[in-house]
Formats: sequence, structure tokens, C-alpha cells
Amino acid sequence: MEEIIKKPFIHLLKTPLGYYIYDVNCNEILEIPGEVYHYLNGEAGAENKAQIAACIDGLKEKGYLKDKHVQVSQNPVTEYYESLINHNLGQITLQVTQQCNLRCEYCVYSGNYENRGHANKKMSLETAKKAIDYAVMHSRDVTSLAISFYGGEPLLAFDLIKECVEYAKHAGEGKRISYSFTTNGTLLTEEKYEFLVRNDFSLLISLDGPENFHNRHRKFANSEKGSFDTLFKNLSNLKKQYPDYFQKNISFNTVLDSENPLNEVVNFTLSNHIVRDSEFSSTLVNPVNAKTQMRTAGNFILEYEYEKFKVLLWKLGRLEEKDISPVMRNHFREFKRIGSALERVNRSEVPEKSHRGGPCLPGVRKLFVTAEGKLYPCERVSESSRAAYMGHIDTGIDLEKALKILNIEKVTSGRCRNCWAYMFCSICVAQADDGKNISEQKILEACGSSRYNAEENLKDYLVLRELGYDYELD
Amino acid sequence: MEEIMIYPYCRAYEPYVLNSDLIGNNRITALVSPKGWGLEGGEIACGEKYLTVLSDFSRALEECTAVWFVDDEKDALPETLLKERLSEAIAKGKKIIFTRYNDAISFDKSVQMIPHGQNITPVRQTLEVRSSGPYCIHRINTPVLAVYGLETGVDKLAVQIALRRQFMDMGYKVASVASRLDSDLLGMYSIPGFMFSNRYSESEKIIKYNHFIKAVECRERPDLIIVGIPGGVFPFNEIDDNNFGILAYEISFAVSCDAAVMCMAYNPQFSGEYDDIKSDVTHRLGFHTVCCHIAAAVPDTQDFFEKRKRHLVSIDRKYIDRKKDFYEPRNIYNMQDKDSAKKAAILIRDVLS
Repeated sequence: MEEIIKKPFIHLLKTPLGYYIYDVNCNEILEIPGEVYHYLNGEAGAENKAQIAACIDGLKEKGYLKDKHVQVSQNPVTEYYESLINHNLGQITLQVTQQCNLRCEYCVYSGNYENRGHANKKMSLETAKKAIDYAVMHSRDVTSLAISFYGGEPLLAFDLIKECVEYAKHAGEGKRISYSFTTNGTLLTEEKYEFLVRNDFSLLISLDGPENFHNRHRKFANSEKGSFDTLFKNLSNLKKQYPDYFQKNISFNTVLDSENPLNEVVNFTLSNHIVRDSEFSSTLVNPVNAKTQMRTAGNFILEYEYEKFKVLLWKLGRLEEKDISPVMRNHFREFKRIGSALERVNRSEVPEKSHRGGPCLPGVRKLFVTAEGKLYPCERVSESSRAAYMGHIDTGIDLEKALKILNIEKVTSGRCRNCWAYMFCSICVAQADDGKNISEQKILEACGSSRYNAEENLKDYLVLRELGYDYELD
Repeated sequence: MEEIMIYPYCRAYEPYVLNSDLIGNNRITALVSPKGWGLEGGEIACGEKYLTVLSDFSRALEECTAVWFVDDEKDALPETLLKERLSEAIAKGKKIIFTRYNDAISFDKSVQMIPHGQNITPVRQTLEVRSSGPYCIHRINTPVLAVYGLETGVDKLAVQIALRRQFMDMGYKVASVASRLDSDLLGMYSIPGFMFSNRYSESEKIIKYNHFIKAVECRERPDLIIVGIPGGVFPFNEIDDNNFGILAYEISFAVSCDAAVMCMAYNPQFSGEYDDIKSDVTHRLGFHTVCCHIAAAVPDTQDFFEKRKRHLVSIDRKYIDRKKDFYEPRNIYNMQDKDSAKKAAILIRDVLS
């Protein structure tokens, strides 16, 4: 275990327009003169030592620059976590089938990943009912419950989904319940549209960009045929018949393949008349547990950074929303979240017991039920994982196992408590899981990029602030 | 005597069940909650026995003589379900107590459905002093204890009842004006409806509330008046406005409170030091906070970050009881516990004496 370092617990930040200290104890960003920055950064040549000392003393007098670190790695909710599990479940995700009619190369079930693969397992109605009953009985303190369906391709289990919705209406009488699923969209039909519209389903549809990009990975099983045409025929019909529903309830997820030029995805999403007004989210191809190394096309990173830059210009009013690809608009949320973490936590020092950012509250915010009824924190972890396994729908959540996932910091305690990005860390069990245990090695592998992202997002946050952007008004 | 079913039962009505002996000749015999609210199967102490929360309205209806339709807490009862249940109860000839005051439009529609002979909703007291003098604000000569909360959902009503009981056990005559609109059944005065009305200006509300308390004083001649303050007392931050503590502010002008009890949510990192908050409350409202009650509820911090909304999650009371030795020397109590409520009442009495 590493020793706690006894010096001001701060992190220095520099943007083109300013110098800053992020004070971990106060969770505040303070603008400082350049010479103080250079001095604190250990750069030689400071001339006005008296002024620098006065500035530092002034900060200390105001309560900044403390050397206090968290002493015990423990999530503050640990003590009453059982009550949260019992009363505050917000979303349950049912893996209705592990089958899929596509074989997307980067899908975690495609066979190209070490820990997951498509199988013939389908959830039984009995298991689904138990899961819905569990969700209703464990959500009394939330005002609405979300039921999501997950695959494979959930529409292969459409009859089961229909039965689940009917059952939930009865079991959840008086509760506001929302329904959603992620789909490849190729199995949408008129009968299904009607059901989805009637029950106000939210759909997240996978769409990777123009036809050649989409078809490159998203092919029908046992076939080289791409799924783009089928998807777009269905989208077109859905939009024509239910335009309001399409606008309100349909969003898209784009997996950005770094081997492809980004600008073609950008141009497609800006120009395609069916999807250009829709909400998009985007992810990069998941490298965790991939059997083969990911490659990156020469210009991809440059193009990606350029698109991110355009997002900043849009927020500053230099570009219009129509100039920004829907797949990039969500990027703003990342550094807005950072800003939110800064604004919402006001304190004079770090608490004795705390836990870094990253893990959600497993079994509270979300609960994933596999086709066999096993319980996991969310669908991002592998169904074969022993580290992330939390129990079974027949017996409920095993509190000890859930607590281990909640307090994942204990594995890297000394290191985490010394880290300036403690609040902004994004590593949870999904990245830390080696299939058997929560792995220190896996956490450390993810640590660098998590800290890098935190720093970059903080800088973006600051740059916008320097240029007069008002976060509160967005 | 009526055998009453509470519908749709939610945790906000636990104090009524736990203190059902205060409901005069009537008895609470069934608690029915919509299945989706997740309360089914829970057991609540009611007099000498426990009542189990049920979800089968029709079946429970057979066993009762009256249905008390109460307000919602977290989940909103769908209008169709309310209408269905109300119609069923009326058709079966049950007496109806209807106190769903929070939704004025639905309230009027529902009350119109109830046949005259079946409506046994207690009439809320609308006392008012008739004064011919120049005073717009009357001096209240009886000691007044305010029970306020830093937010809603922190057991204010339970604390008002617990302290009322303790002072009555000590031999004092207590008049209580609750923080809710539906507390008449418990032998308390409900907060007058004009406090929530937009027919009156804020100044008029202050004067009317003062007159109401004066009338209570004149009518009851109590040794102590306990006043429940609805909502929270001030905004948490720029997002959680807590209705800016407007009602607390108005009541503080209407009545000079001699002592106060602060109710707050549990926080595992709470140091036990609350002088800053006490002082803030004193400066804003003039209340002298004598002690504190910790409710078995915690803020959902994750929800706060994601949705910018503060809501409380109920926790087991054992987490608070475990810290009794730490809290009580600091005048912090769990007043749902009789012994702790007694200690708090003695402390308040000593301050008021």
C-alpha cells in the first residue's frame, strides 16, 4: 500500500488562457497567477518569491492547500446499502435472449471477445415474472421504474417482451413504468411498431454510419449480407407512420470504428433525412477483453479531436447546432458532468471515509438479470464473470458480493487515495473484471486513460468558462 | 365506530397507524396500497397488533366499514385507479373519508361522486378570533414549540405526535396544529387550508394564521402549543429551492415560537455539530432550536448528481439507533423511540420553564 503524501493535495492545470489549481480537499478550481503555477510546478526561475509566498499563504488562510487525504476507502452508503438495495432500484434489465440475427464483429457476443459469445439461451416467462416482481418490490422509494430488455437481439423474443409488459402492468399497478431496449432494428414490423408506440417504448437503435461502414460489421448471421438496407426500410416505415413517436422515442448509438474515416460518419448523420434530427450517442469499439488488437486509421484521432473542438465552438455560439454531427453532440455532456461534480460538492476537506468515482451503486441504480436469472450490476459486465456476479433472482442479491463491487477502491486503495482525479474516476467493475476477480492489474491498465480523460474534460470545461460560457443556462 | 381501510397507503401515513389510539372511536383495520408501490407485505404496528399492507382492495373492502382515501407521497395514484376504487367503495355502501387535498381538481371531482350520507370526512377547523382592537397580530401567551424540517419527508408529523404524547403524559394540556392538512382525525388541528390558497396575499395569510393560533389558544387554554411547519425551512442550494421555506417564513411572522425541534435526514458523515444550521434558522425565522430529530431516510446522492433532484430513500431505523450514544449527548434523538422522545421532551420543558 502506498503511503499518503504529506503535501498540498492539489493538481495543476493550464489552459491557453489561464493557470489553475484543482484543490482536491475543497473540490474547487482556483485561478492563480502564472508565476505561482510555475513555482508550484517546480519550475525554476521564479523572481517574485515574496509575492508567490503571499499568494500561497492567502490560499492557505482561506482553507485551501490542505494535505488531507481520505483515510479509509469506503463508499459512504456502505453502512445502509442494504436499505438502498431493498427500496431504491431504478432500472432492471432483462436479458430476454442471448440469440442474435446479426454477427457484428465488435459486438461483445460476436465471438471476437474472450468472455462472451452468442448462445441459444432464452429467458423463461417464469424468470421474467420473478424479475419484474423483484423490481417492483425493491423500488418503493423511486417515483418511476424502468424495465429494459436486452439481448442478443431482444426482438427475437418479442412475444416474451409482450408478456412481460402485460405482467408488469398488473404487478406494477399504480407505478410509473417505462420500457426500453437496444436493437439492431432489422426485425421491426408493423405489428411491433403498434405495440411499441402503444406502450411508449424507448428504442436505442444501432447505426454505425453510411451503408458501407454499417455493413462492414453489421452482417446477418451465416451471411455476408449487411443489414443497412433492412434497417433503413424499417426506419423509414416507422417514421412515416409514427413521426412524433420516432422523434421522441427513437435514438441511435453509433460504434465508431477507428479504422474508418470519422468525417464520413459525421457527414452521413448530418445529411440523412431519416436520422439527422434524432438523438445519437457514440462509443468507440470496446477494447476490453478483445481477442485482437484494435487498429486506428491515420486521421481518425485528428478528425475526432477536430469534431470535439467544433462542439466547443457550437457551445460558444460560433457554430450552429446543424453544423455539429449528432454523434458528437453528446460529447459536451462529458465535461458538463465534470463541471457538475465541481459545483455540487462543496466541502472544506475530504471526508475520513470515502470512495472514488466510478462504480455505480450495484443493484440500486441498475440491475441486470441474465437469461438464466443471474444478477449482475449491469449489462456491460460479462455473464460468465465471477467477480461481478451478485446473486440469483430466486434468492436475491448477495449483499457481501454487492458490497465488494461497491467498494472496488479497496483493491487499489493507497494509489487511489493519492490520486488528484479521485472524484472524476470512471473505473468500475466492468473494466476491473478479469473473469474471476476484481483485478488490480486491470484497474491500473484503465487508470491512465481515466485520469487523462478527467484532465482533458476539466480543461475543456475551463476553456469554455474562460470564454464566457454559462453552464447554468444550458 | 368505523373500521377504516387506508387507501392508497404509503409511508407518509405510518404515523396515523402507529398512533391509531388517537383516532377516537374509530379503528384502522386495513392498509391497502397499489401493488406497484412495493409496500405489500410490510407490517406496521397498530395498537396491540400488526397490520400487513395488502394490495387486494376488493377483498379488504369486505372487512371494513369506511375507506379513508389519503394523499400520495412518492408515486402518484393514477386518476383512473382512484375513480375505480372510489366507485367500488361507494357502490358497496362504505363510508368515505376523503382527504386527498393535494390535487384540488381531482379532489372536487371525487367529492362530488360521494353520496351525502356516505361522506364522513372530518370538517377542518376554521377557527378565527374576532377582534375589534387595532391589533393585526395577537400575542400568543402560551409557550409555542415549532417542529420544522430541513426538507420534506423527515418525520415532522411523527415528531409532533411523539412530543404531544410525552407532554400530555407529563400532565400538560397540549394543543397541536399539524404540518399537514389531514390531521384532524388524530385529534390535532390541521394546518389551515388558507395557507396554501392563492386567494389571499402573503400578508393576509400571516395575519389569518396568527388569528387561527390565537383562536386555538382561546378555545383550548393549553399549557403548550405545538406547531408543525410544513415543507422545508430554506433552500438547499440553487436547484433544491424547498419552496424557499416560504411557509416557514410566514408562520415565523405569525407566531413567535419559544422553542423549536429540527428534523433532518440521516447522514453517516454528520459530525453531530449543527450550530451553524441552528444559527441560520434563528436568524431567518427567530426559532431557538433546542434539539434535533434524525429521520430514517438518506438523500439519494447519485440521483442528485444525475437529475439534480434531491429525494430521500428510507433506511432501516437500526442505523440511527446504533449511534444513540453518540447522538443523544448532542441533543440529537430518534423521537420515534419512546425513551428518546421522553428525553427530548424533558429537555424542551426545561428550556421553556
